[in-house]
Order: sequence, then structure tokens, then C-alpha cells
Amino acid sequence: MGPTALLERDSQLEALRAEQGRGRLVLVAAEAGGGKTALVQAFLAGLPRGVRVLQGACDALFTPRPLGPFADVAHATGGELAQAVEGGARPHEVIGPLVDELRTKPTVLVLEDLHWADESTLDLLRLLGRRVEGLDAPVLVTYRDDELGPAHPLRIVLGDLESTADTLRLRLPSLSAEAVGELAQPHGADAADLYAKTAGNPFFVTEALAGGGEAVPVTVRDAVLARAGRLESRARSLLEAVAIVTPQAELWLLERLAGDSVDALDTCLASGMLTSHENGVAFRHELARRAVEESLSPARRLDLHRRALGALESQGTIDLSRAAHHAEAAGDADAVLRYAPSAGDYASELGASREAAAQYGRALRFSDALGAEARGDLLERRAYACYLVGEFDEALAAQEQALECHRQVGDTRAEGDSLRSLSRLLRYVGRAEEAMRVGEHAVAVLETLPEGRELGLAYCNVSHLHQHLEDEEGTRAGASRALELAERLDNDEVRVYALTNIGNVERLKRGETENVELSLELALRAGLEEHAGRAFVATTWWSPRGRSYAEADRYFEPALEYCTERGLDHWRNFILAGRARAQLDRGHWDDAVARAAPVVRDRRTSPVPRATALAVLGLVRARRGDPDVWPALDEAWALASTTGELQRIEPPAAARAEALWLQGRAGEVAEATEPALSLALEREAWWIVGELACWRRRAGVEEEIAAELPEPWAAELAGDWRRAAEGWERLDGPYEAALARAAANDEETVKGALEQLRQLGAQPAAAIVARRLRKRGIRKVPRGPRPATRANPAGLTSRQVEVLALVSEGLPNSEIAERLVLSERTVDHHVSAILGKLGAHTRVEAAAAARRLGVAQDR
Amino acid sequence: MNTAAESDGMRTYLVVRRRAWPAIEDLREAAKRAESALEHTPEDVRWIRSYLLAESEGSWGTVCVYRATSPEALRAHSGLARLPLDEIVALPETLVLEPDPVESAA
Repeated sequence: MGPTALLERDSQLEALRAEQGRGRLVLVAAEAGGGKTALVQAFLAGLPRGVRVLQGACDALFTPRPLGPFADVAHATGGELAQAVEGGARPHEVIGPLVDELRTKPTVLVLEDLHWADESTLDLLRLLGRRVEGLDAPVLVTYRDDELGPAHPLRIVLGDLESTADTLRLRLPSLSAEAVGELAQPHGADAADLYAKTAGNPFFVTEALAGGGEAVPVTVRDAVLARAGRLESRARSLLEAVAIVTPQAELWLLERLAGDSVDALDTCLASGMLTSHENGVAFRHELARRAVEESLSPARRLDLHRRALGALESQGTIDLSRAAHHAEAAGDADAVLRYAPSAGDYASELGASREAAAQYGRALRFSDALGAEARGDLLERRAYACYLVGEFDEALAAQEQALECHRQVGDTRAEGDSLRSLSRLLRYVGRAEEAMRVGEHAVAVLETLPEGRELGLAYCNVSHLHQHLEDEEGTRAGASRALELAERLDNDEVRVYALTNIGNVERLKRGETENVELSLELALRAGLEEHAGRAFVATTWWSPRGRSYAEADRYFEPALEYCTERGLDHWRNFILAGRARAQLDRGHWDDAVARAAPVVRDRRTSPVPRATALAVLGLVRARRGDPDVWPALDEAWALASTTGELQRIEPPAAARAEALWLQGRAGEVAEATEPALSLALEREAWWIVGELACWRRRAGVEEEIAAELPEPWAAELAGDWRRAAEGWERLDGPYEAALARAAANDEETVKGALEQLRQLGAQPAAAIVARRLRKRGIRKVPRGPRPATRANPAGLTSRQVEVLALVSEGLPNSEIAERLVLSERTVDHHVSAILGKLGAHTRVEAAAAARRLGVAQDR
Repeated sequence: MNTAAESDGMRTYLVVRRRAWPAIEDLREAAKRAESALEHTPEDVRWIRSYLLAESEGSWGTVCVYRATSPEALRAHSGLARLPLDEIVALPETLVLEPDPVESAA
């Protein structure tokens, strides 16, 4: 522990101590060298006797070990948790034993350096966050917040945890000039210079002072090297050996790496540069390790990595991620090919696709000497892992090369299967025609062979492509061939895939749900998780058409639960995007953007849900008069415009039309909606036709649509504002209802609509309506309420105001949950937060406060 | 002219709150709430500076500069801190001729 450990950390330490014995997620953030570990150590050192500490850390390996920190924890606990982790269980299989373990005795769980976490660790953290409240063990998570770029996976998880878990955030600021002065004083160092160069970074300050030179070093690296330079040569040599091993160097490993220099271990520990751990030693700080590592000559580095690899290989069980890392650094192609593919398979089994893709990529960089068959196999695995993490261009490149390899070898079955995968990828990136051509080619290739699962999937893929084009006949044709084959082969995967295609097309064409539900049931029963995820999406995805949200509501929660618990993030993002759209349509804009934002931020989100989520964000911004409307809508449009898929095209097309209208650019609406309207007509998607035609009408386009359109669009187009408004109210669309009323002739109705728009926060639409009223010579257009009264009372969020209003109607949480489409747990959350904010002890008291605050009749 | 790096995924915005507080004490209270609300979403919102507006009838308003990942993040922050919000405007460019003069209201 450095001498700076406890300066200016009293409030954070006190906050941590208050968490002892409580089930809460405590997020400790600071910049690199900001003192996270020092704070945690100080907290742990002050724990009462009998409290167990379980600690795990993510490694700074370029490709980290899957579930790394939890493996550390499991190693310490043994038992079922260790069995699960060592047996290669996936996050949703580990969470049970982990929670059980945390319940056995008073515990503090510490997970460090989560900015380096692999995907499966983050998945498990997300699951843990959902359960932490029920435990009496705090979970401390540390990370560097200066390294979290906008799309950093940890950032997405943090956003998620903020809304689903009880969290406490602690940020460690840099040290003040005074604190730096206090530390500098005993060393006689120039405090002002030290503060200027280190900007109060605790690690940098400590290193600079420990270096003991005349002048303060300019960078952390200089400070570390100056400090190391003061050690004797054997100690320096030992430091170099430790520097190439992460997360820590076991003693047996060090002996192989450093030989006699191991004798200098005590010197290194006494100097404070190394600290000892349960299984070995490590640098006190990763910044120091990196500084020393970077100072190594290439030859020395190569030699150390070679020795590390040799030492690892002499062990009984080998850590694949570590071996692959040293193999690459040692430039040993054979060893890379020995370990990286298996490390990739292991990562992929645990759902850590990012790490899997990286390991396969590493192996491929060393695959020159490999035969086409083995290379093709690696490329297939790399393509699939890249697809799962949303790197579609990388996936396409690998898939095309894989195809080439299969052809060279003359493996027709692999070629056909590879063509099917390629077809799917082409569709993802919007190359619809090529996708169809390649998909049909896959069928033709596989039909030359004895029939098998690959052919069934190829039929399903073609059927799927037709489904995306909303072509019922084409969907059914492929699906029925697949179903027949599935019967002959008795193959559930092919059966479920085909049935979900049929279910989707029936649902989107006619609102029929029978086959969707059947395929879901089959997928769940057969344990086909990916297919169950897709079938769940089918239960909710089409509900914006006709706004049949009442039915979708039955599925949103279970679908989200299923996908979250199993780490099916691909499908989870569909569900979230669909729900964001549903909340937008029902006037819950805050909730809509809260659900859409993480979908957009997640780099892995596939183009279809991304287009929807972007359209929701852009539209809410346009409706509120907020900036950044067009970056969102233009990106959505770019993902959609060339695909021929209405599911992608409709959200941004309708959103763009509305945004143009709101921004006084009605003249551009006709052109912006043209392609989407003709596509919707061609596909006989009458709801979408009505929607687009209505925006065109509002923008002044005079045209007749020769079709019977669904209500309330038909009423809008017929100019029957009353019928339209009533229709929208029945469908729970307050914004559309207000817009319909705004078209009324009588002044009172229009003023009512104006008021309603203002309450929704729809300033641009309200301004349009107010202008219209003034134009009609109405002098006294009501002004909006004073801004101060628009903020919610008592610090409640908009959602909490909604919940409170229902509490004061005397509804139980279960019913509130149903009305607001939330889980009962979330409602419980809100209700206790509301009671806290209102200082109420009972629901009755809260209801009284609600009436006092005007919340009860407000909504 | 200086441009802010976008490496943190944030952009610069101006948030306008006109005639929002009847007295300076109310505004000071609001500022405290604003500061503690920042702790909930440190990755999404950074508060850069504020200009206090002396408004009609002794009331107060503010114009604040933020770095944020989205307009929604700013609205969420305002909601959490119970701050009224009139308008969010994007600030794509800053021209600094002189540093801000620092005034301090009573």
C-alpha cells in the first residue's frame, strides 16, 4: 500500500464502511493510478473479524481469460462454484452457485479492473446485479473511468445496472495541491512542481517520490523506471520477468523465468514495487508493470515469453488464454496454433464471443503453414464469433475466405453450409439481392448430397429471407420443404426454425399468433436457446403495426428475462428496441429513450433493432425540440434504405417525415416518404401505408390511396378528427390523439389539444398548433406553464410520478406493474424510492402526499 | 477556436433555464442537487460551467454548458436533480477570445 492511500479518501472510505453487510453493488471509479486498489485495501483491512473477503481481478491481457475474476473467486471458495467455473459453465449456470456461495457466510466480494473484463464476466456481473439486493454481501467493482470509450462494453453494462440494480457509485478524484504538498514535505521535494507534473494522480505522486531523484520525472513511465533503476541488477532482472506475466507471477513460473534472480524477490517486495499475492507476486500497479515491460529490449522480451511458455507447458493443466498470449509474444507459430483455437472454443462456450473472435484471429495470423481444411475450419469459427459481436465486415471477410478453403478441399457439404452463413451475413449488412442469390445457391449445392441438417437449414434460410421481404408465399415454400425434411431427419432445430418463419409471416400479415406461440414452445422444450430468443422476438416485434401492444405486453417481461438470463444479447436488443417503440407510441418518452439508448450504444446490436432504436431516439428528440435529431435518423435510414425490408425502413421513414414536418420542412416530406410508401403498398402493409399517407397529407400532399386503410389512419385521412382522436385514445396514443384534435374546427378542442401537447413536452408540435390558432385570429392563445412547475415534485422521476398516481388510486404493485408494463420487482423498487423521497411510511401516507403535490389528479 | 475531442463519446450542449428560481437561495439549493445527481451518471454527463441570469422581478435563471453523451442524458440529469429545463441546444464550436470573467452573485 502506498503512503498516499488514505489522503483525501475519508468520505469514500466511510461510504464503503456503511455498505458492510448490505447487498449492494458499489462501483468504484477513478483514472489509472487513481487509488482504487488502495481504497479497497484500506476498507478490507478495517473489516470486522469473521467477514470473508473474496477477490478477483481482470487481467490486462490483450485477450483476457473468460470469467477471469470469477475464476479467482471460485479458486478460493472451492465447492459447487469451483465445479461450475472449472467445468466451463456459462454465466447463467454460474450465477446460481455464486449466489449460494455468497449466502453461506458474511462476505465482501471484490471484482477489480472491470474495464478489462471479458464478455462473459460482464454477463455474469449483470446477472449478479439483478440479485445483489437479496444478498447481505456488498459487491465492490473497480474500474478506470478514463478508459471507457462511448461503446465500451462495461459502459453498456453499467447503464443497465443503473436501472436494474441497487448501486452506489464512488468516484475518486485526484489529490489536491495541499495533499500533494503534504506528501512531498518529508521528501523535501518541490511540491508545486510535483503537483503540476502529476496533476495529483496518487500513483504518479508515489512513484515520483519513491524515485528519489533531484527533478520530478515528467511521465509516470519515467518515474517508475527511475525507481526501478535504483535497485540492484538482479532485482531489476526479476522485475523484468514479472513484467511479462499477468495477472500475477507464480513462484514456480518465476524460477523458470528469472533463475537465480528469484533471490532478489525480497528486495523487490521491500522496495514496494512488487506485492505478494496468494499464488505469487505482481506489480503494485499495472502502470508500473507496463512501464517496465515497455522498457524491455525485443530480444529480452522474446526470450522471457519463450521461457514463460515453456514453464506453462510443463504444468499439468494449462491456462489456454495465458499460453496463447505468451505463444504469440514469443513468435511461436506452432504453439499459437496449439492454444489459440482451443482458447477461442473455450471463450465461445462461455459466451465470450469477443474473446473468441480475437483468439481465432490470433491463430489465423499464424496459419500460413496450415492446410486449407484446418484454415477453413478456423475461419468458420472466426466468422461466427465476429457475427455475434456485431463485426459484420470482419465476419463477411472470414466467411468468404472460409468458403474458398472448403472449395479448395472439395468439401461440398461445408461449402453449402458456408454459403448459407454468407447469405445470412449479406442480408444483415443490407445486400438483400446477393443474400437471396447466395442462399439459393446454398440450397442447390446441398441438394446434390444425401440430405442432412445442412440442407434443412439452407431451406430455412431462404424462407427466412422471404419472410424479411414479407412474402408469405416464398416464406411458406421454403419452410414447408424444411418441415418435411425435419420430419424425415427428426431434427428439432430445422423444425423450429421453419415454424418461426411461418409464425412471423402469419403474425405480421394477419396478426395470427398460433404458430409463433407453437414455435416458442417447441424451442423452449428442445432447449434451443437461440431459436427460443428469436421466437420470443416474434411474439412482440410486429406489434407496432396496429399497435397491438396489449398482446405484446404479455411477452415483453418473460422475453427480456429469458434473453437476459441466458446472455442472448442479440435477441435482447430486439426486445428492448421493440419495447422502446411501444413506450414511445404510448407517450412514455422518457422510458422509450431509456430503453433505446443502450441498444444504440451496444456495438453488437444488429442493424434491424438498431434502426428501430435510432428512430425512437431521433423522433423523441424531434418531438421535444432537442438537438441531434438528424444524426440518429440519418444513421437509421442508412441501415435501412437499401434493404427492401419494411421492418427496417418504416421506423426511420415515418420518423423522418414527422421530424421534417415539426421542423417546418413539410415540403421535403413527399420525397422522403416516396420509396417507403411504394414499398408498403407493394407489400400490402396497410398500417404503414396509412401512417405514411397521413404524414404526407399533413405535409400538404394531395393524393388518393386506392385501398381500405385501417383505423385511425382512415379517419385521419377522411378528415374526421373526432373519430381519429377517439381511435388513438383507444390505442393508448396520447400524442397522436392530440395531433388529431388539433385539426378540429372549434377553438376549445384545439386549445385542449395544445395543452395536451405541452404536457407531453411536445414543444415543436405545440408551437405549430399555437401558430395555427393565432393565424385564425384567436388572440388569447394560452401560454405554456412556467418552467418551474413543469419539473416533477419532490424529486420524483416521471416514472415515479406515474407509479405514485396509481398507488394513490389504491392499486397493489402487481396491478401497477401490469398497467405500466413493468416487472413487479421494478415497481417495488419505485414504490420504496417514492416513500423515501416523500418521507412517507405507508402507501396511505404517500397517497396523501400525492394529493397535496397534485400528482394524484395530474395524470 | 478550439475543438473538444470526441473520444469520450460526448458532445457539448447548452441548457437554458429561464426564470426558474424565485430567489438566489433556491438556485443554490438546485445547484447542490445538480451536483449530487451527477454521481449517478458520470459517464454520460459532465457539467462544465454555468452562467447565472439575473431575471425580471428578482428571479433567477441559468445557462449551463455541459458535455454529455446525448440530449436524453441531460434531461435525465435535470429530472433527477429537479431542475426545470427550457431548451437544449447543441454547441458544435467554441470561439474563446478571452477567458470567462468570473463574477460571483451574492
